[in-house]
Amino acid sequence: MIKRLVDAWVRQRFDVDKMRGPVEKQLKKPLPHNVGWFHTLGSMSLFLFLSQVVTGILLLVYYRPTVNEAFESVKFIMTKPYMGWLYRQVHAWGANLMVIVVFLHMLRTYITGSYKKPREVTWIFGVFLFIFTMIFGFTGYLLPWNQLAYWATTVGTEVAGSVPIVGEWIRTLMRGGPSVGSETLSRFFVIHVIILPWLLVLLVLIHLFLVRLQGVATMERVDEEKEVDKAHGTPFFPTHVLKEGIVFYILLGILITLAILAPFDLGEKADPLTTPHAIKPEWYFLPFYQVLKYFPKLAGIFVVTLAPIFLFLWPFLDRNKERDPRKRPFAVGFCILVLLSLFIFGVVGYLSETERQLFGKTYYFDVYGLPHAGTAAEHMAKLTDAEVK
Amino acid sequence: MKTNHAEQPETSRRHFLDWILKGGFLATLLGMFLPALTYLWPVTRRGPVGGMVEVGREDDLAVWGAKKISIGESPMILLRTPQSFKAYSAVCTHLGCLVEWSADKRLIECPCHAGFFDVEGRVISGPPPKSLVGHTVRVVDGKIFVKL
Amino acid sequence: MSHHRNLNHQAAHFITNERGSFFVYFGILIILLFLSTHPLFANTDNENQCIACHSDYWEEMQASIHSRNGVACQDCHGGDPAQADQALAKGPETGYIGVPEKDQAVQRCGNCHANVEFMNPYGIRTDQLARYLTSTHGKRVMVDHDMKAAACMDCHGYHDVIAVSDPNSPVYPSNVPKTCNHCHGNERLMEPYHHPTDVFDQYRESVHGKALFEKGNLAVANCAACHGSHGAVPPGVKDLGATCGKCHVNEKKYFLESPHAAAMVEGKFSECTSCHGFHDVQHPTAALYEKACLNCHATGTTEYQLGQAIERELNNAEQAFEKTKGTVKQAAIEGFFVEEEAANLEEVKTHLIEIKSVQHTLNNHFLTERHDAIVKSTDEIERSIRHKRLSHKQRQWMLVPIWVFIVIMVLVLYRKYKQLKNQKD
Repeated sequence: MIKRLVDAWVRQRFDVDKMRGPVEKQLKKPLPHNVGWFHTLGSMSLFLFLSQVVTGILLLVYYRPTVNEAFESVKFIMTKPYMGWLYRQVHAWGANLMVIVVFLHMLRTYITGSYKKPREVTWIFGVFLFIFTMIFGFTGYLLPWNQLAYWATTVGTEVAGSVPIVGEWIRTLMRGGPSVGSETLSRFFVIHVIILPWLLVLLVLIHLFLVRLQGVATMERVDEEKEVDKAHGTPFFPTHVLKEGIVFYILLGILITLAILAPFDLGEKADPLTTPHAIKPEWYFLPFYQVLKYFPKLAGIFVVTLAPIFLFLWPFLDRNKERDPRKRPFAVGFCILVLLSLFIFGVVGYLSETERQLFGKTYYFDVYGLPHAGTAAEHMAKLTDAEVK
Repeated sequence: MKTNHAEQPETSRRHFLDWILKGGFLATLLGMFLPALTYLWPVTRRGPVGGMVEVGREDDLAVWGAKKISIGESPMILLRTPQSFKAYSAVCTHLGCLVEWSADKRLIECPCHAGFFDVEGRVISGPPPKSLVGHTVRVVDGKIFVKL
Repeated sequence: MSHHRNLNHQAAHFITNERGSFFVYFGILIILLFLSTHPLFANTDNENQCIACHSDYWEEMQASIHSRNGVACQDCHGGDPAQADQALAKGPETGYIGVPEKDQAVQRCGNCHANVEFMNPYGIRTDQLARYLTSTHGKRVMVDHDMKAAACMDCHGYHDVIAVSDPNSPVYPSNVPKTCNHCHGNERLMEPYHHPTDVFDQYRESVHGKALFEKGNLAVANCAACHGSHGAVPPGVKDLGATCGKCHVNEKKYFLESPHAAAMVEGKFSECTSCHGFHDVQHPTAALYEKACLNCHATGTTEYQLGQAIERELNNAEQAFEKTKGTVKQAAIEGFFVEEEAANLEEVKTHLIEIKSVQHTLNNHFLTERHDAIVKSTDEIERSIRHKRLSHKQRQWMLVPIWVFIVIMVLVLYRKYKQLKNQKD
């Protein structure tokens, strides 16, 4: 009854029928047959972004972005307001999951060859989105202002500063001064809370618009794509959306489970005078951080910047017209190689400068990841002065 | 045209499923936003501790009297002289015992090694090497605020 | 005749005109300047002729506190500073004594420094001479005429005496041990007195030495603080308590309540050093009860067992504190709100430090009281944190209904999805 009244009221003011058409078209848009479960990853990235925005806004109510209050405010959030701890943990875990999901989405796009003509621009926007997601992570990591945050940011900005010629300038600009401090916190806060969110909204809208405009890629060869019609495609709504719903609920479950079973520490308040042993950046930067150790400065920077450059240029470097991964052995092989090296260097980076017990014996992994029998203390004693430096 | 009879169990089951779905979505939305509302409701008189903290009323502290207070994790001693209020970290600079106020001597003393500090927190005698760390005190509307 | 007149006239003319008069005045100036450098007419700061020859001592003296206050060569050495001629300056009526003998020098110093009226405006003590005469150094120099012992200038310097509060002074607190060690570390010098020469090394490794040299704590005990400076005499067995008790007030107070106080009066027990040592005193730990008691008490005796019981309680209290400190820290790192517990821990810390003073009573009852208070507090803190952890664990139960709900939704969605697919096909 009420529904009919509202309907009538709206119809008297807006041309609902004119809107209905395009909306229905978008909703019922037929998707090619190759669209499967892995095609929900894009929406999951969006869901995680929205989750971060909502939890981020809630955290913002109590968070104080000053050196004196930041740590205390995070402690407050974790202990006083109702469910405050949940929002903080969901936000922290959401950040990690978002990096993973965006990466997996990118991987899916790569494997299905969807980045090829005519969708190169969509891919470029996607790579930007991935990079900005990592920057989101980098800037957000500092905000709790604990020892981990402070020193990881010091190391991260130090690496940025080792770029030739403009390095020092970049580092000073990032830090807002000679070292990480209140200015750094302010800048990172501004970037994390206003600049990046709006930037991402804009980029996501464009990215989605392009996807809708050009339609989801099929598995047919480049220049041989056939338009999907209603009879042969799966309607986006409700069929594909249902799939997304399933994955959404499972992802939500994982997010909350991680928030409760593996919560992030509050940590110790940042102390610029005490450097903890073996500071490392967050896991998604670890492979690059580790690789940098093996090369002298300039060469290292060069090697590491190859990665994003490659990502951007890939659709233009790849001349193969095939989309089917089975028909693209080189591309798939290269991808596996990259994945393996990311994994290996990530693990090595994780193990480096730590003491582990393996099969009953103690080993100390040095800064390059090489294992030495004995404890950390024993290893340190053996180092010469030059090596210590 | 299918008969109504044959359709009934199918459609009712479908409707049942739809009901669950709609209910489930509603529950999910509510589950996300209702806690948010409770989260936003102010839970303590003040938000996160930082800056000036209220520690008591002016009238509660007699002249030449003192009070032990704890702000965050920092134990402090609050004094009142005829001219002003003073607040110092109660951690003795010698070995970390908590200092006390001696009303008859009008000095801050440490019970551990007989370190004595004057009302300005300066060491008068005993082993402490440095003066007590001072904190700014302000009195507004009869309420005493101490800066962390 | 006219020639003379001419010359005179010329001369007069020369002097009276402008250029001439300039040369005349200039010439007179030059002559005066030349004369002024002649020792006979030379003026120095204090009209002091001594430094004309003894300029090296003047350099030393210039920065000294004496020269800044008008004390000059003649005040200590005698002589007439106004005389440039050596014989006259050091003549018999001038009171010149040259380099004084030590006992002479002490008297000379005392002439001013023991004169209350004279020293009044300078605001420093005047009892140094009186104390010195009671000291071992003083008796050796003034009575035994043993010039090897220390006198004023051996510690304070000769011509370059500066204020005690100046960090460069040899008697500034952190320099005192080194100054004493000049003699007391010299084996050849100390041999006739049978004094040990390793005291400085012992002191340097002691808790006082480390505090002074490594941490720059000037309030800590140095040689002069315990032995006295001007009245330096080794503390005898009875004097130790007063010496150590100057700073360690509570320990002394509690010690006097202990059974050892009586032994001290009888001279059988040296208050502090019997257990703690003196020059090499280290930061005491409960392990001291193992070593020190055995000096007099055999194992198995009641006294020894009391010591063991005290040691156990001390260790127990210490361990409880350390454990709880770790628990609180870990909880704080994880993000639990433990400010109250941390504040309580500060109080426990105070008790713990107190108990270390109280143990000098060697009275188990006092100790047990404090020990029990400590253990009770730490237990409470641990319990409180356990309770907080438990309520966190309870959050895990939330997961059950959540996952039940999720599983239902996933199943329903999947069912619907399958339905739609079948429908289409």
